[in-house]
This record gives sequence, C-alpha cells and structure tokens, in this order.
Amino acid sequence: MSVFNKLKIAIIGSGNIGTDLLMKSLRSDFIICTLFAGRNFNSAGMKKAISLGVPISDRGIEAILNDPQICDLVFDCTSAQAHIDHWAALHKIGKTVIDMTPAKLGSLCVPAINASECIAEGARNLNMITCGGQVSIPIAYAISQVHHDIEYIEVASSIASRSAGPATRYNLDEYVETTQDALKKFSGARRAKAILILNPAVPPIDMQTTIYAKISNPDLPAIVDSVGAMVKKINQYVPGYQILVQPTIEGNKVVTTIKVLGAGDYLPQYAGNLDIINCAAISMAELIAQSNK
Amino acid sequence: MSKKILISDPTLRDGNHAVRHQLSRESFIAYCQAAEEAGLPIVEVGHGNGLGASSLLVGECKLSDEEILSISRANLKKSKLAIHVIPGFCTIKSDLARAVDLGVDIFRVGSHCTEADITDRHIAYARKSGKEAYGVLMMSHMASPEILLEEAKKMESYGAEAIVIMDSAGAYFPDDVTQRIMTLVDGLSIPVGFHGHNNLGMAVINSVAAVKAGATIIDGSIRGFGAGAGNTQLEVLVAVFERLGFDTGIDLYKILDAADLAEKQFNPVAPFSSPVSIVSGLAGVFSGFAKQVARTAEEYKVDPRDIFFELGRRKAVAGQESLIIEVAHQLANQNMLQKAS
Amino acid sequence: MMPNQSTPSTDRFSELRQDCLNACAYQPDVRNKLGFKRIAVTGGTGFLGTWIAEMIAALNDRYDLKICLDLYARNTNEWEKKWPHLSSRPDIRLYSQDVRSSFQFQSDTNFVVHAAGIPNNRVHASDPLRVLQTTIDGVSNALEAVSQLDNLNRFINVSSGLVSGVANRIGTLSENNYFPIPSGQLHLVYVDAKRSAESVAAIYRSQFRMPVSTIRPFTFTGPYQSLDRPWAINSFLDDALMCRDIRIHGDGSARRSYLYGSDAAWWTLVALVNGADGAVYNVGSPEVISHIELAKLISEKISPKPAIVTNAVPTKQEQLDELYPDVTHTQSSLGVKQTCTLGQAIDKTWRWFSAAKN
Repeated sequence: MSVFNKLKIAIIGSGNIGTDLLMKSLRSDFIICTLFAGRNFNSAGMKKAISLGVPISDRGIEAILNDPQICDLVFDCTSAQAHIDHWAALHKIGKTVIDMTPAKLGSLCVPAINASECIAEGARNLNMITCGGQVSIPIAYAISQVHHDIEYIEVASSIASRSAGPATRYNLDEYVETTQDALKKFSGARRAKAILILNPAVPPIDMQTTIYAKISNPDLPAIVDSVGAMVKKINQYVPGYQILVQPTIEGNKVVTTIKVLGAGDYLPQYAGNLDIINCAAISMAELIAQSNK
Repeated sequence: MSKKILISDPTLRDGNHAVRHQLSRESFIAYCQAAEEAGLPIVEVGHGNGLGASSLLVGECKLSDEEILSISRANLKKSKLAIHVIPGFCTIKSDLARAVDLGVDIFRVGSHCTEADITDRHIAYARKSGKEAYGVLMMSHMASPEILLEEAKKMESYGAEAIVIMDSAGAYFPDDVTQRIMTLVDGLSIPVGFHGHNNLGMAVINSVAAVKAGATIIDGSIRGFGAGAGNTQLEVLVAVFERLGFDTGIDLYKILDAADLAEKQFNPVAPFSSPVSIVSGLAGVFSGFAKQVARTAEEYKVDPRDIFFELGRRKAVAGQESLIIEVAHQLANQNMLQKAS
Repeated sequence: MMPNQSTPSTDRFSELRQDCLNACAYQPDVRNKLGFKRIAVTGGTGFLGTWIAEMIAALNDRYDLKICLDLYARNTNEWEKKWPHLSSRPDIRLYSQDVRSSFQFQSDTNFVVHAAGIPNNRVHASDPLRVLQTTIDGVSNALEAVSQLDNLNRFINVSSGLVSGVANRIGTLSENNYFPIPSGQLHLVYVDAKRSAESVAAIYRSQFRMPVSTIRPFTFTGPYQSLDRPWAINSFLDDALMCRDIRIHGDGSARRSYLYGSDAAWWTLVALVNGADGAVYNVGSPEVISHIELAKLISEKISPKPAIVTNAVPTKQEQLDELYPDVTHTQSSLGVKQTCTLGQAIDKTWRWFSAAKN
C-alpha cells in the first residue's frame, strides 16, 4: 500500500508507550507516523525516532497546532492532566484522538467489544481505559453474554515490577478506579473490583490476569465457548493473548486466568500489560484508517 | 529508666487470616475491650490483607471495613486504632477517605519490600488528614539490609513516621533480624519496628533481637493468632519484655486474661508450626497462602509442600494467590507424565 | 524618573512589592547595572524564579530600569493563570522549555540564572533518574545555550547547600566545607547530581572561558512556596493551618535557617551583576533556629495553640542535623544584607498562607 493512502498519525509523549506505538506503526499497512513529539530530545524514545528517520519535535502538542496538516489522528501518551488541555486544542482543529492516558474524556474503547460502534458513532476521542482493562474487560463481557446479571466481577492483575515505571506507580488508584468503572460498564456487573500487584521476581514474570465472576448456577460450557470465541477475536490484534487457566468453577465463582505476552517491539516481552493497550490502540487506528475510505 | 517499647497488636487484622477473614462482631468488640483494658497502645483491625482487600482473590471478609472500623473505634477509647493499607488493593477515594472519617489513628501503609515507591500518595494522604502514617515493608527477607534501607528511606521521604519490617514468611533467624534492624536504625531518623511470624519457632527471640538492635515498635498477636504458624505471641512477648526490663505499659495479668478470652471467643486452637508452615518458612513464602494451598493441593491431588517450594522458587509475592492454581495444574501434569512413563 | 503605572492591586501583592523594594534599597549601583538588560531564568516558575519576577517588576515600576525578564519552565500554563499580575506584564515573558532538551536563549540575553531542578525529595525517592537527568542534562544544555550568546555578562548556576555533605557537627557550612558522602546511594542522587553540575559549570567556565558563578541556596521561605514541598517549615505551617498538632520528625533539635524570598531574589541578582568567575556564594540566612523553636513560633500564630509532637527514636543517638550557611563571604564580597528577619519572614509567610486558605 502506498504511503499516500495511509492514515497520518502523530504521537505526543516520547516515553515507553509512545515509542512502542511508533514501532508498531512502522509495521502497519494502514497508518504512517508523521510526527513523534515530546518535550525532551534526550529521551530514549526521541533518539529511537531519530534513528528511524521519523520527524520529531520537542514542542509537544504545539508541533501539531502549528502545522495541523501534519496528521489526521493523534495518539496522546502524555498524562491525564495534559490530555485535558490537548483534547481541548485538538478538538478545535478537527483531529481524532486515541487517548492512552486515564483521562477518560472520550468513548471507552475495547476493540474486541465495541470497535465498530466507536467507528460508527464517529467518536473523535477514544480512551483505551487501562492495560488491565484491555485484558480483563473482554473476558468479563464474554461471560456477561452468557449470564446477563452478574453480581460481581473481580480482576486481579500481576505485572512484572520492572514493567511499572514511576507514572504507573504514582497512579495506582486511578488505574484501579478506571478499570473498575469500565468493567461494570461493559459487563453490566453490579459491582466490580480491580487489584494490581507488582511482582519483583527475576526474571520478570509475564503479565497475568485472573478474572473472577460471582454467578449463581454458572453455565460452564457456554462460558468456555464464549470466552474462547472472545480470545480468538482478541488474538487478531494481540497475538500474545492466551488463556492460562480455562474457566473453572470454584465454589460460587467462575475463575479464569489470562496471560499476555508482549510483541517485544520496543518494550520487553514480559511487559504484556503495556503491549496490549498499544495493540488495541493501533488496531483502532487501523480500523479508522480503513473506514475513512 | 527502662527502655520503652511500643507494642502494636494485629490480632484482629493478621489474625483474620487464620479464620479466613470471618471474625465476628462479638470478637471485635470483646477483644478491643480486653486489649484496651490491658493497656495495649495500638490495636490493628481489618481484613488480613488490609483495607479494601476483601475480595475473591484473597478471601471475602465477613464484615465490611466500615463495620469493623466503627465497632472497633467504639470500643477503643485510649488505645489507638490502626489499619493496614496496601496500595493496589484499596484506593484513597473509596477506602482511605472513609477510614479517616471512621476515626482511624494510624495508617500502616505497606508494600512488598522492594516496591516502596507505590506508597507515596497513600502515606501523604494519611499525613495530610492529620493522621499518623507508618511505612511497612512486607516479605522483608526478600531484600538485603541495604536495599531495605533504601526502600525505607523512600517511605521516610514520603512522610512515614516509623518503618516496620515484616517477616511475612516467618523465614528470619535472629542474626538476620539484628543485621536488618541495625542497618535501618542507623540509616533512618524515624523509629523502626519488627513484625514476626513463628514458622520456625523464633518469633519471640527474633523480636527480642530486634529490640536489642534498636527497634522500638514490636507487633504481637494474642496466642499468636495469625495465618499459618501464627504471629509473635503477644502475651509471651509481654512477659519476656517485662523480665528483660523493657517497659511496654501493658499489664501482664490483663493480657493473660485477654488470651483466655481469645481462646474462648475466636481462637480455641492456638496456631502451631505445622509441616506446611515449616515448609513455607523455609521456602520463604507468605504464610497466608496456607489454607488456599491446602485446598488447591487436595483438589489437584498434589503435595502441598511441593507447591510451597515451587512458589518459593518463583519468588511468589503476597497477594498472588492466583498463581497457586497454576502451580498445582503444572505439578499435577508433571505427576501424570511421571506416572505414564 | 516616573514610576510605572502597573502596581499590584491587592494587599498581599503590595506587601511583596514593598519587601522587594526594601531588599534592593541599599544597593543603587547594582540596580543601575541591571538597567536595560535581559535576564533569563530557567526553572523560572519556581520559588526563586517567581521572586525574581516580583523583584524585576518592582525595579521596573519604581526605578524605570526597563529590564526584560524571560522565564523558562517545563509547565508555564499554570503559573500564567495563577499570577496574572506578573504574567500579563510586558516586561516578563514565559517560554515553555524542558531543560533536558537542547534549547536557546533569546540572542540578546545578558544574564542567566539557571534554577531549573527538582528539589522535591518525594521525586528524589520515586524518580531519581529524572532528577539526575534534569540536573546534569539541564545544566549542560543551559551552558551550551549561553555559549552561543554574544552579550552574556554572567551565568549563575543555582546549586544547593546540600553539596557540602552531611556535617554531623555543630556549626555553619562555609563554601569550603566538604564532608564525605558515600557513592551509589539512591537517597543521595540529588546531592551527587548537584555536585556534578558544579563540575560541569566549572568546565564551561574554564575550557570555554565563560563568566560562570555558583550560588548555593540553603532554605528559603515566603509566599510562592508550595506547602506540599516536603520541608520541615512547610509541614509545620500546613499542620498549623489545618489546626492540627505540629508533628516533628526526630527530637526537634535539627537546626536550619530561613531566608525570605525577596532577599533570596536580590542576593541572586547581585551575584549576577557583581559575582566573580568561579566564585561560590552561599545564599541563606545567618539566623539559626531549631525545628522545635520554629514549631513553637508557628504554633503561636494560631489560637488555640496547637500541641507540638516530636517523634524521636529513643534507642538512637540522635545524629546532629545542622544545615545552615556561613554567609560572611557572600555578604562581604557582594555587599548584601538580610532585610527581612526570621520573625518577619515567618509572619509574612504565615499571613500569606492563612489568607490563601480563607
């Protein structure tokens, strides 16, 4: 596919998430990164972008505001606080934004569940919720397709300590609250709880998430089928997503465990938690690119 | 002038692990009253894993945090009310704010011993609310004394007013404790405390070693009421400290009365070092896993001791109960393969 | 000389204006040397930068010196909204700039105060890498930027009184006192980075023949301080404002001194104008006070008086915690004086924050 047909995307925020998105965009047939913008030319991400010949800027969002033609879609990988200002400005100049921060200003998006709806409604701000959310919400949803009135869903994620930087650690509360809210919204569960555990084991553990659903009289075969079908859907954009422990009944709850192996584009393989949210974001950008035709 | 030791009593928190977090209202009321009567300076209450931890992952609590805190507060007039807080299980908005309103005095904010930087906001919140904040380093045997000091210093910079290291797996020997406490006391400008577990039968002597090395805060549970092999036995601690000339402010006879009450009320069989406890102590794995490991081992028909050593090998961290099923699966498969060949 | 018409309208700011005028009243020659010059401050939205802005505003309005001030900072929006009496002035301009990247100053810049840094020790604990990069890359980038200026008179590296190490003895720290500190220790990353930054500054001074001086701030206090910065005085003020017991880490014997913002700003400007190449100037108050005495002073501001609670480690020999400067060298070389006493500084700071609260 020629460059001229590809959707032009810009990335604001030159940290790990932004740099990994950049690497994924280079492999895409549908999107092309026309700007990698941050605040610090000395960051590892910027140096990577330079080595790849991608246009860079240390002016952050001003680089887009000063040259609105440069892109159609923006990935915001900065912070929830910064996103509020960014969205106000990008909204005015008609850009579509995929928000990687917990700001939650736009439509909550889990590609395996509501990609088409998001595209159909022409949502211009898509929020990717949280990494744990991208892992667990599809499963919670799959279970809710079988049992429509789930009393309680709980999601416990273990991530490698090494994959959690200062920003993640500072924003644990936001992570928990955002994931819980989105779990309830997508699964219809009456109550939801999210737990995040950092595991310092060396070598670093792969990201693992256990989903518990409190259901009276669970229809296990139907749940297994529904979850299986959902995993296949997710594998289309997250190849490393796999069921570690099939849905099992334990007392009054259904339990299943998911492991996510990262693609290793920029982030290490054990950082499946970061990879999945990026895969989800790229997949939405590609769908938008294709729907624009 | 005898040395003052501050005893903090987690009977109604860590002890909750022993009964799968099913301590009743009556137990909270009765023990709070007995503890205060005995002059215990700090009483810690809640789900075994702390505020907001009631979950399918680590066990649902019979009472809500709100209930536990209100009845405890109502029955503690002189003693301070403390809670255990692990960021990632609870949030400031949903959990800590309510705890402040319900009259908690001390927020003991804990993390795994190498992850202190997740405690910044929670410690800050407790301080900003005018409450006391301690930093707690869990599974502290998994880090060297120097790393422990590094992590403790982070908590100090966040506003922690004391640092308590936990022997969550009951893995320490007295020399280990001496070395760690000395390093912390030397490097910090705030008081240092020790929380022992009795897997290898050394909780009391470890606590004595801690005090001799400069610790001034010691945790102890009545009758050792706690997960697995139990915590440092509080009434033994009081007796030993009294004989050693340390001043705890606790009345020996009344704490012994509290032990009798606890026996009748919620702990008819005192904890002891079972084979599983011994193995988990040696493996350096959190004792709180015990009941779930036992259950899962039976279900998958594997040896629970093997599960423990495997969890230790994988450096399992407290709160990672979901790993148990995976390990049991794996061991069961291995057994099948062995049988087949 | 006609005074400028833009004077601050509210009482809080008019007191700050008077403080600034008092601070510079006795050095007309220095004031004149600042006339028509362009001054740049990196980390310009911090405490020192904001007080320098107040000072420049005072100098321009009162003495019509036509000084231009450029403030460089990572995040300028918040400052702009918070202090419109400064940000709307034509003589003060804001530039959004992260010092970890290469950047340039305005080509006609004459004086630079490099104050960008992260003094917040919560960040030292949680993100020491960012602290290191901001400090070392920051000073390197700032010096590179000034090396391109034709009319640079002086560059001031804002270092820290902490570079002297931990004294563990009673007494002041002079610019020549150095006490050993171990290497490779996380909680000392800030100190190590500041020490390295002084070396970088010396390299540019010597190898590239640049007019570089260093100031070592000790503790400052006053309006424009963020009360959530984890320093003892802020935590005492915060406790008192919230009508809580004032809690002291340790036994309260630790001693500090507190220089008020207007004096801190003026002393920095004097160092800019009259500093010697390679000189190091301690900037801080010579009035020493222990934590417990400071807590008592602050507790008297509020009725009913809050209790003061210490948190000493009974089993430990309390290490001496003395961090205050010997400023004889600074005062004799630069001719600067402390115009705001400790008592006045505490009083002004208290009134600023309690007014803000209400």
